[in-house]
Amino acid sequence: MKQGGGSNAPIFLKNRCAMELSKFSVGNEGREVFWNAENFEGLLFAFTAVALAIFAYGLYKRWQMWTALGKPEVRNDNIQERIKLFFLNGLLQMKTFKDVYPGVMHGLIFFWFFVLIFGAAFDATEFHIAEPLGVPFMTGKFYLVFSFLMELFGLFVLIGVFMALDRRYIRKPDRLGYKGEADNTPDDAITLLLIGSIIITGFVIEALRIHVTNPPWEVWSFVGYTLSKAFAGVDNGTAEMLHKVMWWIHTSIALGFIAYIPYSRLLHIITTPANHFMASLKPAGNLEPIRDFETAESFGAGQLEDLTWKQIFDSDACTRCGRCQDGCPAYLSGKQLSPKKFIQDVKTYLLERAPLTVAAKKAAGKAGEGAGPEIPAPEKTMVGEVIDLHELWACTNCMYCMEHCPASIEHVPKIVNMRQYKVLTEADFASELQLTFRNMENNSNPWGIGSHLRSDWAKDLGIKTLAEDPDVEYLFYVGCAGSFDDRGKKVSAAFAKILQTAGVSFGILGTEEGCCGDSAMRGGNEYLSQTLMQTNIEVMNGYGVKKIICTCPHGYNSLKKDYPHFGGNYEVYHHTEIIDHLIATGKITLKKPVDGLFTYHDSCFLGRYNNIYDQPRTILASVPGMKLTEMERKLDKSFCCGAGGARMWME
Amino acid sequence: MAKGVWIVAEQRYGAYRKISFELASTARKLADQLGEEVGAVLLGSGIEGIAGELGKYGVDKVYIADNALLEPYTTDAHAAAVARLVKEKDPSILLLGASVQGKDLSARLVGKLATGMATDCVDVKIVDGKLLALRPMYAGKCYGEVVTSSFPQMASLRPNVFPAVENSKTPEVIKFDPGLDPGQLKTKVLEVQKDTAGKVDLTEANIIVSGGRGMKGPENYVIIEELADVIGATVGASRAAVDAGWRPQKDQVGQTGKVVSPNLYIACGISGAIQHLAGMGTSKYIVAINKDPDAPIFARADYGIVDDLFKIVPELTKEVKKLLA
Repeated sequence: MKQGGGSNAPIFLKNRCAMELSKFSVGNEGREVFWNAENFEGLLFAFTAVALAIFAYGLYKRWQMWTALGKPEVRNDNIQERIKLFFLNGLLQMKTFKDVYPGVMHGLIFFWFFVLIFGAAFDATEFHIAEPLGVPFMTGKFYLVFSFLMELFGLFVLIGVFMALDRRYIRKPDRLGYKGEADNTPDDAITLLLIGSIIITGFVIEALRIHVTNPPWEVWSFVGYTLSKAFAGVDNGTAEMLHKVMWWIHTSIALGFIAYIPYSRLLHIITTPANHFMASLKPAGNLEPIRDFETAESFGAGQLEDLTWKQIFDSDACTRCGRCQDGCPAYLSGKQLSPKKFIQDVKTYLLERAPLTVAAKKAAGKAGEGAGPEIPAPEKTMVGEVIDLHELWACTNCMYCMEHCPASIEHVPKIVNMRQYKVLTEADFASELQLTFRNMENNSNPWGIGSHLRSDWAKDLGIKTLAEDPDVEYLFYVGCAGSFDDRGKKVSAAFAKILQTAGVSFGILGTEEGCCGDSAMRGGNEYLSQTLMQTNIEVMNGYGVKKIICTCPHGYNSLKKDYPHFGGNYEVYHHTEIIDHLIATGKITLKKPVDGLFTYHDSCFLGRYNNIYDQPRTILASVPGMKLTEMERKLDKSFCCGAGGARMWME
Repeated sequence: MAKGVWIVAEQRYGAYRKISFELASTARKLADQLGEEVGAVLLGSGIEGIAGELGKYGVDKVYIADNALLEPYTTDAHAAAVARLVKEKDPSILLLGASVQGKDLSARLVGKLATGMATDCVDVKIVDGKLLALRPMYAGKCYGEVVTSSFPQMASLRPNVFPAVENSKTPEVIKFDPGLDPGQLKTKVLEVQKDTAGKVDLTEANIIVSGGRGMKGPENYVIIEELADVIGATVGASRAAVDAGWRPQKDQVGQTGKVVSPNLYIACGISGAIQHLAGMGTSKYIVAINKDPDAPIFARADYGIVDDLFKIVPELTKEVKKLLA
């Protein structure tokens, strides 16, 4: 400032003519809003009105599409919680920041562009309200700080835009594509260039203004000030002419940006925060049960209209950021499925189908009441043609996509709904799965091993069944793997021994226990899963079961979250929670040292589904001598083993 | 009054499937009890030459329809032809194989004839002049006895369960018109792509020799193939071997591969994970060869050899060769 003040004095004199017109001076710093553009105001208003009209029309059209199709679903309950989600994930972008580099990149653009819009609003307020009222506020120190911040934020946005351009067009991470092919559209480039050029032209205009008026305080507008040096030697007349031209270019781009929003990826400015507001408040991985088996003629989602409006809206909140794809076990193991492509395919189909439905509704409206809309039959089937069946069946329900989607999109329930259609309506699914379903039907376990052998693992271990003694605190729900699989049986026996040692009162269901139904449910056989669940609930409620411990994460998740849908309300614990508690309370102490280096692989259904990350690690840490290390993909980024979502039973 | 015990014989490329003889022998037994004749329906093209062969297993009358539309097998053509003849001749009992083709045909046929059927039977007998069929239920935990109150009384018989008993009849061969209208047939076979050169499909194999992770590499399957050749077996594999890329997926035995039930299953270097057992646990005899005495496969095996398969398998091949020589 010192340096600027001294050297600026002669220039100030040189431009005295211009400055004499101004009411601003040192000590009363400021700038004239609409400098050199005094007569543009009317035109600006007209153009703004046009831009806003185009914006509103586009949004209206889109609104019609969102409301054209889909079954009802309530997503406006618990407003307080929803506002919180909107604030945290929509405005503060907490989910976006989970991935740091792209999060910061997006933040640089979003936050500061957002603030710049408010800056423009400040200018407008000054010009239209404050000045006419005689209380201008954009003066003095406030103006200087304001100028400085606006410069800084403009620079931030520009940095963000360059980071984005570099990422999308030079570094090309796989997630911004599909199978190594970038999926960039012209829209991506247009959007970034629009934002970038709004900022750049803004700086140029400012530089030209500073070049002509050259007030000493504008050194605070450091970008414009620096840039103004580039115009040294340009006479004022030319500069003012250039300024006018640039002003219009800047204004046109800014208005074009507004008009462009509903027709481009910029729409996510509206849809994504809206999607955060409407995010599911149910426990992670919740699947709404089918309730109308007796009356329904079709099950699951075969066509777009079979999805709920919210499930359809989801697809319009997707920005193709590809975070879902980055950790998708199906995609990473070379399957066709990419959660991003899946959502985008639904979106493309929505944009194809919705206008036809809107037109049909309109026609019906004209034809008068009573005439229901004759919506043209779809030319292709959603499940099978829009969504490839290989993609549909490749999903392991691991929840990575939903956990990491910065737009709160819900991929997994859609996939399960589509599978329900294939299984329950069309009876068209893999033969291996058919074998598994039949085994579950006959013997209540996927392998088809005689259900009378279910409790053989517990022979000679002194474990009582609830039939023998129902007066126990916990039911140990063993599950199929724990009952029949050789490794699983060892886990069951070991855990039972722990409970016995710690003196925990527990029992098992023995041969009265059945398959939990998780694989049937996620494999699309909702009917079978409900049958299995209801059978278990009848047995458990019959014994008055209150607390349940599971070793298998799938049974744990199912008993905890799916069973309440059918009248099975229990306190459900995973055995790691129980063991952790037993160690913490001194009920068991680990004495035998275990040598060697170990790691813990987070299970999807424990971690991402139920937020159990710490207990298993705490238990391992209390084993004497055990050396622990972490894998690269851990916690909420843990890599699925591939067996969830009924994939265990498919090839 | 419906009379006669009939079978639908199965042939492929002019050769009978073994199930045809099992059906014929069983029908003979039933017919003798009833004092009735055994009739067989034989469909195909260029099959006249083999019609007489059924006499060897006790068939009295062979009704043949030799028609290009009946070769290769299609559900609609065969169902139409059999239904037409059965309606005309009115047999009392109609037996089919619970084979892939028989299951397919019997379902369509039972609908066309509007009668009842017991599927996948393991025993049939005559009680009070009616067909009583025994079929496993609940994955073999119990048996159900099924009597059909309408005619013909249909049953499909599980392959490899009923004995094929030789007899010496010279059957009467009767040609009949299947009454097929090419325009009515919805299925057209454009091309047949045959799998494995001449090898028996895993699901139909009588003997299977399987190799697992213990094979250590694809090149070592030579010893498995040699043994299979000598004893007329089909080669299978565990998921571990298939996932490692040592064997094609179609060879996979297990929960997510083929579910097989041969008379003899020889598991070499297979630990017997639950997913594998789910695919072969119902085999009649299981032989396990594995170095690890704790391998779960031994809990299921009828005979177990705890030793190096690379030593045992070639030895076995050598001994069987000697025996057969």
